[in-house]
Amino acid sequence: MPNLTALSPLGFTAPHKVVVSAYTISEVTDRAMASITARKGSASAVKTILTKILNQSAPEVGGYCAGEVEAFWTGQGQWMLTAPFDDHEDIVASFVGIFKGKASLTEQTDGWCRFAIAGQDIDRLCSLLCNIDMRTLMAGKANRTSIEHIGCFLVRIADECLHIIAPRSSAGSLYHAISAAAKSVRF
Amino acid sequence: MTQTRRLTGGLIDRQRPLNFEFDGRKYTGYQGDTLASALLANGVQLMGRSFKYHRPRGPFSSGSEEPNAIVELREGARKEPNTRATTIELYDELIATSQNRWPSLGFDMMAVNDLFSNFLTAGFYYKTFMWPAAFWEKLYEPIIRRAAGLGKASLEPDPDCYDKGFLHCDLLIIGGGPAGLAAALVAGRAGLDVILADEDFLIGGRLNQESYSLDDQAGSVFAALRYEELTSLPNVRIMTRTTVIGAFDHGIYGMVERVADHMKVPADGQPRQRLWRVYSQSALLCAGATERSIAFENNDRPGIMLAGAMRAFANRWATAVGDRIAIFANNDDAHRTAHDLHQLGVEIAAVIDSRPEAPANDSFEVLMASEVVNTHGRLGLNSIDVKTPQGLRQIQVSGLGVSGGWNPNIHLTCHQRGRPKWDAGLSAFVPSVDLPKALFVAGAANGQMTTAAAIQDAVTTAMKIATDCGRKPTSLAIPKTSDESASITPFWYVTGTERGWVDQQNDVTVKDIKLAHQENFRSVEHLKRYTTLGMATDQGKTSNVLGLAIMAHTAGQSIPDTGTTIYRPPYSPTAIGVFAGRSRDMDFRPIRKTPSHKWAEEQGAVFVEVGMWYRAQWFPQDGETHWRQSVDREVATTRSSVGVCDVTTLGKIDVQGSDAAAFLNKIYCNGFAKVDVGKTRYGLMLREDGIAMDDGTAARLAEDHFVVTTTTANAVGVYRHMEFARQVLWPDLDVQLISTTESWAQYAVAGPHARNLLRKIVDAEFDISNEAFPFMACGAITVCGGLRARLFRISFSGELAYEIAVPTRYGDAMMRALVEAGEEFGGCAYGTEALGVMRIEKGHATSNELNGTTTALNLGMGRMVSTRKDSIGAVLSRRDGLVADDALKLVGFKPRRDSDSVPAGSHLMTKGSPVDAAHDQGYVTSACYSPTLGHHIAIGFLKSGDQRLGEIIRLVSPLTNIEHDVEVVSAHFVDPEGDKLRA
Amino acid sequence: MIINHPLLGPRDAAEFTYLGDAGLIDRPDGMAENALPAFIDYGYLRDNVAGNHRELWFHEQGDRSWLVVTRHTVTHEITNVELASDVARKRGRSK
Repeated sequence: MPNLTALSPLGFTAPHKVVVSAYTISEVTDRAMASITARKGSASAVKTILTKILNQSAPEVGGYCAGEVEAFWTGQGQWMLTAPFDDHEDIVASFVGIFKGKASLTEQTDGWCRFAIAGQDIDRLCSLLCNIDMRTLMAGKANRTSIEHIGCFLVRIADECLHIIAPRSSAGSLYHAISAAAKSVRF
Repeated sequence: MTQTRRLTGGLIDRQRPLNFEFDGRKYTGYQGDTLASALLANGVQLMGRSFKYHRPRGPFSSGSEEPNAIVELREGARKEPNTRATTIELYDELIATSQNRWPSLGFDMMAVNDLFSNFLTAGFYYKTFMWPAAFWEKLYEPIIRRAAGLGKASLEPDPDCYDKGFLHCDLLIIGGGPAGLAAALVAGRAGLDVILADEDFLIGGRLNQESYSLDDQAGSVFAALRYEELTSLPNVRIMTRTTVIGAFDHGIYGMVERVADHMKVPADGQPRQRLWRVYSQSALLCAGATERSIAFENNDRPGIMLAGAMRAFANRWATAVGDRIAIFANNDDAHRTAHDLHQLGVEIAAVIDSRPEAPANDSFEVLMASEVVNTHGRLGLNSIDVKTPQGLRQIQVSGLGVSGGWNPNIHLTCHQRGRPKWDAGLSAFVPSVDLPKALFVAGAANGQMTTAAAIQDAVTTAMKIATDCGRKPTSLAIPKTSDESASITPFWYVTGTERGWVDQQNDVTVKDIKLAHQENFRSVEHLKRYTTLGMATDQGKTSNVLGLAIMAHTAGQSIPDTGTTIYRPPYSPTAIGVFAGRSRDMDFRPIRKTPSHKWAEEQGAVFVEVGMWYRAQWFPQDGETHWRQSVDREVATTRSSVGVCDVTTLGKIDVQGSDAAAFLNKIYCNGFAKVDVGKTRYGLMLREDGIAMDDGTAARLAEDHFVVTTTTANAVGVYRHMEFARQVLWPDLDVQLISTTESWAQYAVAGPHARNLLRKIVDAEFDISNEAFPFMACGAITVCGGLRARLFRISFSGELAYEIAVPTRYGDAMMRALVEAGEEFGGCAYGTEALGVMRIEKGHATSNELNGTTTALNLGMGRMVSTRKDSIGAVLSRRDGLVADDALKLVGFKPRRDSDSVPAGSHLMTKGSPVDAAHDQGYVTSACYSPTLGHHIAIGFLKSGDQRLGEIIRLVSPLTNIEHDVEVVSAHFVDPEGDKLRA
Repeated sequence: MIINHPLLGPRDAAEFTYLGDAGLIDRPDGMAENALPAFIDYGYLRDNVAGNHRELWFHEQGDRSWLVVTRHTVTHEITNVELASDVARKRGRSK
């Protein structure tokens, strides 16, 4: 084990959690993440491999698969894969063998911050944050857009739970935007 | 002061009195009042002074079309000028002040302008204040400046916050009057997702302002019942106090919701206003109609207003404009004002109708074929002169309701350049056939001027929209309403009128329009701009059509032939704050923080913005008071011992695939096909036009895996460019890209002790000796007891240097570990300033040199552009214009006198030649003080610079009065052979 | 403006970056005999139509795909949106 202390994207030694108005905003720091991009001619082979890893069909456009290993669609022949950090710290090493050279894997874990937003009216909160038609972002769906000029993935875990994944360096600005919206949405 | 002009009834809550102040005097009104209705109720007619002539004015309307009663609302930081008293929702402790008058509203010195009206006609500024020329700057301009403008803004920062939001719906209904409510019910009951927006605080539109009944119910009750049902439908969202400001492309609408304008102070976390971007499948404009005026002599006095507004004040706000009133109109609708006020006990002196035949009645006198030819009463109307077939009569009145007809509110239909069409029967413009896609119009906005017709039109259209959405809507019964007639005979102005106002806010009269015609500014676009008709804050809502009708008549043309100006967003004045939303002050852009940010803050670092990143510029230590002390020290320490710098911000792009090397070979102008695994190579990217675009390094971690770096500023652009090459130019190369800038914290460790420092960090099993890990090597390692890391031996400073990358969550810990490890050698952290000094000392190019006009040849890298392969930019880099014999070349400059600086931006002139653009030899791009050399240095571009080393040349900066000699030297000031790099 | 992305459906144009004429797809061969005049035409000659324009947009805030959009320059009506890689292959950009 390295003798160094890791920090969360907001700069805390433990994932930060805050209640703002009717919403709970928490940092999710226990998932490793890698991008999976199919190599030339291997798009359907990669989909098959992903289906095996996930134990369910690989996500299609706008799709998200929950589980110990998660995945969401990010582009043609491209997905983000996440797994528990503790036993997949080197996530590329964990999965590269399974893909047998048919996909390019890139570590993305610390490139992103991930906020879990829990509360009753997620759709209304999001109407103050981004232009996604929330009627299409129900549980099991993922999308990508921007919030206050920060590019974000939105992953709808459940009716009352949304995860927002954004570039790590902007974690503070994103948190600020979400919390201002959380305070404002009841008016 | 008691409310002497209150009537019975109205939609005001007498159980909730409100105290307010206008021009320092205290008054009382009620919940539901506007500032205008409350002032009128208190007997105050005078509320403003006109722009040019400072004529006393009162409210002309009862809504957002108001030209006259504009006031400064609130005080201090929230003060806002030009706010329409007719739309200000009264709240307790409201404070408002009249504007554009000195010293007071009742006695305004600037009214002297009215006496000089002959000199202040349309376009006067093109004809006056010309002579003598010297007087312009000293006398005329300062006076005009002081007189110009309307209202004063607060110069304090806005304490309120504003939101931006996004809504999606099947149908956006604009306007919540009888038509809008009917459409919302049809669509809402059919299951469509509906947004119903109305600018008023009470839903119902004119239903709240008229006395006739619908299905035997009062209009306001009828509206309230419909509103109640709509609020019970979860798929309908009603937004009051919300103005739809614009119809944009493809069904996108902008809406401003005034969340807290009606409160003294917003609640904690509450935004003052919200700007909504609405994405709608369809939209239905039910914005109703706005009444227009008639031009006659002195038609602008306080107490003179639109007839429809007069009865709105009476019916909705229980306020009489005066105790004895008259009506002047060309249509049946205006007679209802007389009937309504008569019912409420106001004395009706007469209805003056310009038509030869008009509906007579028993309650009051109706004068037909008659006209109001003048009015009297400077601070408030007291009498009117009426020309009847029997002769001239003077009638005592304190209020006059005027109606020249109604204009459908078609504004949004023109926002995409639609041209409205003239309807002769209505004597008004109606929506064009060429509407923005999926925008429909219904009700009075569509020329259906009676309540029953308006509702029918809305129901029919809503049914069609719902059916087109695949629903099965049920129709709505049309309520039984008292029969109204929309009969009208055009009558625009009284013959012979000169000072008859058309645009009251900008003080444009009939005389001005005739002058424009006389001076040949006859097209409506010229009329508008020459007279400023329609250019005030009310955007000509009550005056545009009247103005062009007068021009048409004067020119002897029909109105359709004269045409009309069209409209553009916003529909009504909109605060800049709401367009800014949350993007202000520190939130203007997202802040990107480096992994060592927290540590740097603890050190008291001074930060600089590089794009959205905050980077440490230098780290002042105790005793250092000037930045040069810190920067000079950081450079000296790094070059003599070791320095650590956060370089995470430089772009990192992961490039994989069996064709990764072939792909890079197409992107970079130099060769990349044969880079060994475990090696890094410098790469220069050109634009397709041959201009240098970006430079960086590509590290080959495996046969099919590179990590490409870019400059901080170009990271996003280079990634976009690479994706273009990958997806569009060479779509069948096997290559995949993704950014990893954020995933890895990266630090430069530079200086003679760099390796010694790293040996304390890198785990023992990795050999980083010069033999095992030479200059330009790269590879995966572990550090600090097993943490995965990557090491690159590259140098920007020119010292023995490495860049070490770890997963970002350990970035903070890594910075601390590196700095601590460096302490033993007297090392330090260094920031972007020292980084910049060192690279200038080495002659390394950055964005200052890659400035979008320079080529590889200019940079001294001409031979790097391979002629043996096709790469982006190679061909056009060889065109004649870019390979001239005297092309600019990157060189260094050294001052002749040690004390001189060599400022960036200076230009270079051959000694003895004239100092002008034709003889320009080049320019300085980057400059600094070099602590290593003990004097200022610079690099830049000089014609044939590589052949002029040693020449003494003239450095000039005419704007800052600098001119002195410099020597042309090699740009590589420090360690030109690169011995330190390879140590 | 709304761009109807072939995979993602209707998206606000604000999510995209505009590059220019879709003619940029037809990059000449840099090693050919007449490369220089071909590249000059490629880089600098454009039709300036008041009508349908085929142009390249990058979905920066979305799936990072390049698209070829057919847009009427006067009315802004968008009548066709395709993946640029598909268009490129159809126009012979395959290796």
